[in-house]
Amino acid sequence: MENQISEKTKRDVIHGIKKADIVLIVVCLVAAALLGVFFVIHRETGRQVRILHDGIELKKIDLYSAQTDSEIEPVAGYYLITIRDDVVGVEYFRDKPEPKLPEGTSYNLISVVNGTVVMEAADCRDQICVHHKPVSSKGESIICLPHRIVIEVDSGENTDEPLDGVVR
Amino acid sequence: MTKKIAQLGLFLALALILAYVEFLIPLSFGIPGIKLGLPNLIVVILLYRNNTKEALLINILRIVLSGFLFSNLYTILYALAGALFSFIAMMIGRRMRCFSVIGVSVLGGVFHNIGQIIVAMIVVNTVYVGYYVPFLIVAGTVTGALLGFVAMELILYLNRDTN
Repeated sequence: MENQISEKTKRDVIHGIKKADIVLIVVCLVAAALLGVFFVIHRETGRQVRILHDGIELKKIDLYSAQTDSEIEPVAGYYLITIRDDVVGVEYFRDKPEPKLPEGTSYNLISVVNGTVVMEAADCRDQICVHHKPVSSKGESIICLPHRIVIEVDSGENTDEPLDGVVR
Repeated sequence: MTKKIAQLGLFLALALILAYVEFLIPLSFGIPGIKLGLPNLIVVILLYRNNTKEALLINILRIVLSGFLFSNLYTILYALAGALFSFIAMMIGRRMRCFSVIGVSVLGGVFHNIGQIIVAMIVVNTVYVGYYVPFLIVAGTVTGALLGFVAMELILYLNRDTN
């Protein structure tokens, strides 16, 4: 009968949990714990948050000082990111705005308060980014895959400049 | 042959129902990408009951179909990457014979998450998503072990003499 599994398979299954399974589970949990400890030890408070769309930087916001790209802006506030046919904009609000957007425009709304960034709202399909925990440490990020938006906290050091030299 | 087609169709339908159940109860732990992976139950069962080829066929079909039913093309590619990664790991685990159904299912859960993280890194062009890896490994291990227990019981249950 093709409905039946072979004796060999049956022996495999009926054996129940094996030693190798337990070893595998323990190895996975230990590896995760070690990685977790490594990340916690190397945790640094973020200085800056970068908003990226498709990997391209749209805006840099300082988390603690009051400067944004030479413009003076307060630290606490809301930033509304609007996306329409790959045209992306970032707008600042002091108070939480009610996003009223034309048809075909989607948005993500983030808030920056006391060095912590929260995804307040978004009209993306899965809402994963909205449920994401607040981020504040260097390297943490909130990602909205449907909108291809990344909110990334970094140390604020300029990573473009340190070129030792250019060979021509 | 006809019986086989009917049987695989049944399993495919079951995988889609499980995908729908998962879609209805979204679990959120503050970390994206963590879910139960209920449809993977069917893939594990097929890997033991039938063979690699049929398990892979149902695996790809259920992702494409549930993708079109519950999300979009973009998500299909994303899910496909995780599923293929997980499938290769489970296939190797199954061949190695030192693992039971539970070990194979754990491998599937962990590698599914690792596959998705790699795709996420490529899609959004950042390496910082690596921060999720510890959580995703733990989640994959726990859900994989739970589903492995269920799969083991089901394989034996389905093997009863039904005539």
